[in-house]
Amino acid sequence: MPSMELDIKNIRLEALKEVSGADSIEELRSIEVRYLGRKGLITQILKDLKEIPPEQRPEIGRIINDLKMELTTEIENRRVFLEEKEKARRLEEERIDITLPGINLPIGRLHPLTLIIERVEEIFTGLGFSVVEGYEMESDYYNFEALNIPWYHPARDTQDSFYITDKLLLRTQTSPVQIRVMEQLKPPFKIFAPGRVYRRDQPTARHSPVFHQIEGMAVDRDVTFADLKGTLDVFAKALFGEGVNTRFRADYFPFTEPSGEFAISCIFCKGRGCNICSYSGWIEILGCGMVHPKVLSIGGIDPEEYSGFAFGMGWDRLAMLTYGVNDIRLFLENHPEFLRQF
Amino acid sequence: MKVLLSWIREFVDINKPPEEIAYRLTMAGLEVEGVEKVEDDYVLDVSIPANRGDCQSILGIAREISAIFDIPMKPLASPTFSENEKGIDVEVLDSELCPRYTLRFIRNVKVGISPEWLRKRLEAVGIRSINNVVDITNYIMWALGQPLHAFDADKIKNKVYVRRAYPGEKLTTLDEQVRNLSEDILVIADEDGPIAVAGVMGGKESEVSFSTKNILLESACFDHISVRGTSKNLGLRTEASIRFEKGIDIGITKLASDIATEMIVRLCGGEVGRLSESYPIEYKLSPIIFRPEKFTRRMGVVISEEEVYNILCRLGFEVNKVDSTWEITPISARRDISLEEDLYEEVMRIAGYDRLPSTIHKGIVGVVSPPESWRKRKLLRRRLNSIGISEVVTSSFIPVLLDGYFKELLPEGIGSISVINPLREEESLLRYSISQALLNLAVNNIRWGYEDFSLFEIGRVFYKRHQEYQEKEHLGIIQSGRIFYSWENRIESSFYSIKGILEYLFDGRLEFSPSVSSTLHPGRSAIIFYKGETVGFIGEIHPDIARMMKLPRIYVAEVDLTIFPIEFFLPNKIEEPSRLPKLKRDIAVVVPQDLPAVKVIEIIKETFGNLLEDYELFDIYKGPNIPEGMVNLAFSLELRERSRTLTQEEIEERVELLRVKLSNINGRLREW
Repeated sequence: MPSMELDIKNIRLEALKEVSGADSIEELRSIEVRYLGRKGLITQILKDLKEIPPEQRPEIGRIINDLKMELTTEIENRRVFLEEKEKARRLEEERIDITLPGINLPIGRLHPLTLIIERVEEIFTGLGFSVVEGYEMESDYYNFEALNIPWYHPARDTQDSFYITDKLLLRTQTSPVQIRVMEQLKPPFKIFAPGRVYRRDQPTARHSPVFHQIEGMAVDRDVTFADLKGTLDVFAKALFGEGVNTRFRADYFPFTEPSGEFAISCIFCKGRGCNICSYSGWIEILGCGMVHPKVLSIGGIDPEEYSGFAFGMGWDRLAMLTYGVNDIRLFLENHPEFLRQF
Repeated sequence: MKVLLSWIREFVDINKPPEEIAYRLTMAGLEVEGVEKVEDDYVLDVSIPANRGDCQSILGIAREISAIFDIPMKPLASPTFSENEKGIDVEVLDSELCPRYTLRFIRNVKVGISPEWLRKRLEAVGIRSINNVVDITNYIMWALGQPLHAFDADKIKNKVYVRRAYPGEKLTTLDEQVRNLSEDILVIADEDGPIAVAGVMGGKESEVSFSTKNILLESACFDHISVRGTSKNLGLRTEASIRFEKGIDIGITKLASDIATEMIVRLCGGEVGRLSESYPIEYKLSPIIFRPEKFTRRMGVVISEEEVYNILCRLGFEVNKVDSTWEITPISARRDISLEEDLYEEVMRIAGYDRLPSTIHKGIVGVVSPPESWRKRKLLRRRLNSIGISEVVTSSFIPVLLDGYFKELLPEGIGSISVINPLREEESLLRYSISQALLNLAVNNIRWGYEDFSLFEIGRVFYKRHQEYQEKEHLGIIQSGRIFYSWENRIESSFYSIKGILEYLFDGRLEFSPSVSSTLHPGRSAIIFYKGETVGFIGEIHPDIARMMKLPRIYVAEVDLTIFPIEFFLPNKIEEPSRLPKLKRDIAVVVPQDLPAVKVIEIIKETFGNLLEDYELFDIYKGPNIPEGMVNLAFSLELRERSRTLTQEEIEERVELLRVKLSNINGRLREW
């Protein structure tokens, strides 16, 4: 049946032309249905096979099947092509201006004093110290008397206090915590106590009437002066870096004996001498010593049996050194430009 | 205190470079704050610690150098001169406040200008030259640490008394100030009345001037507590009072007088008269026990007994070894040494703190868990940061004009606390509320041009309540302007934004009740309750205050944290998560618009009981389709029965129940 063969040839040419001309997925789908669908042209021809002589059927059947496969492949190829084209169009359509600024969610920041105390806490808790807290309103007894600073002591000159009543004041140091801890705990104990303190000093770049200190104290049998030095060495190197040198020299405090002052090599000039270290190469960071036997006794601890060390440092000062802050007043001022750098 | 190296060398033969001397003195406890070359000499500026009264002199510093460098002191020679019998009697009426007193009469002195070397030396250490007699008293004070005073003998009547002032007595001091004296002030007096404030300053009347012929030279030891009290009382500090306050050497009173006398006669001429002295109880030094074994144990470093002995001797102390216990007698100048530990410091500082090894104490663990306040603060800081609120730390002092602000919103009966002696009158008030400080900060922020901020502070507040001074820890939050903004969208701060923060932090367990105060907007503020107790407040700053302070709309919230235990914020027993699916059910209710939303929420909670896991009010609508005076509230409910799967029928049953309940409050369920 040459006419059938001719039909098939025509159908093939027609179909391939239509497929390659299809411009959308929908059009392609209708072409597919028209040729390969249940009622499609090719399906129809297959049904007409029974009307041709049996000896020609295998040959014609093979031709139709080849066409069917060819067409299926062509449609598939065209579909992939159209899909890619569609995708490319959509992506192009979704193009945005990537130079527009991002959308910033609000960020919550911590105050630099908090950032520093978190590091200090890490170091001291690592050394087995526990944090304790005291009162900012203290009695003259805890702030001075119990710390071996009677009313006539010259050390009171440097700690001019804000008084609330004759006997109640704003603590001038965190050291009253030492007494309160001794009253509450039995040795051994190792504590550190950060907190706010007050001194009647005119505000300047270096002094603020409201500032912060960190007190430390360890009491046990045979706590030594060398242990104090070691503890402070660990602290200084952990906070300011392995490369920092430390200096421990004699000093005086009424509530420690022997007393010392601990300094680090200037972190700004590496000890060569600069403005910040007053050309000494050293920056004093804390006062310390062995807890005075009178203070231990007042705290109810036998100074023959136990010994201890204590230290007190400027918390704001640590933050000043760490972040290169030259004016202590910035901490309580809370200027947005200052705070957003942390 | 400024000292000249050449002057020090008169007491000890030190030929080390000045920088090394400065370094070693600093390490041993006398901080040298500066070394300055002046011609061929050096001026050392030494800071003297409060306990080292003995070092307020060239002699004392030379003694330190002698001990540090192990170079012996040159002996202090007692001068000799012939005396005559002319003089004046002295009576000390309070020997407790004046344990030793001497008064030397010198006749026919020629008061004039000091020789150049003397003037230059005094100038180099910062003392102004007056006349030769006064200059010599200052010179000897600087050299030996003994304050001296010269009176014009012709202005003194009959006899000198050392006594407490009588009430109402007055004295014009050298600085021409009239001083009102009282019984706790020790004075030097003659028959007519006070001629000097003991240990602090002489009187104008008996001042040595160029016309003075005869002088009385006073060298005395006054009680350090008494001088300090007087100095504070009169608001007058002098080189003399500073020395007495820190304690001077009672052993040198007469020697200093003799050395000065010799110098006066040598430089100003004159004849030496009689020395009147009162020294009823001779100062006795008592030995202190020193145990080398305990010293080693306390210091944590081994320093040989030989070296320890050597150091104590270099300090001039007497060492008496009795087996393993030593008896140490310090020198009279070292009144700061009374305990064994004082000696540890002496030995250790001369040996050098750099000899100490760095060790860590090994001992039994004595752990103390951190206080709740500490843990709470860390937790809240983290949570506040996580929702974009930044931390501030403000002063405890607040401007006086903020007194009264927020007070009505805090528990009843709160009184503010002021310090008696503020630096400035307007900064005497302590904050009783963090919001006071935050409001103050807001004023600054706005002035600096920052209108958008969300800040918090956790800090102490102070107030008087029930006759007690109380110190509490409060959380304060302040919001202004935009919380979030971009070219795409924005969220403005509002009463609800700040309320949302509290709901998040306190897990919706606070109760809010409308409040009336002069600090907050009456229609946009609330007192916060927890378990029936007032714990804080929330609201918009009152428009009157905002206008006065030039502020935009500002929102604050404050909560007393001391009331909440840590378990409030972190469970100590968690709830097992349920793997059963949650069912979502949206409902809309139409209720009278003046009905507080909390009433509707209560009804929903009550109706769904423990089936209700969570709810969200996602829309509030008034307008077309909603009757006049009514409001439509749309809720999204999350429902679950934790032990079994919930059926749709059960939920519908509850919804029907809700329909009935709503009708009781003139509301209805809206069909979708």
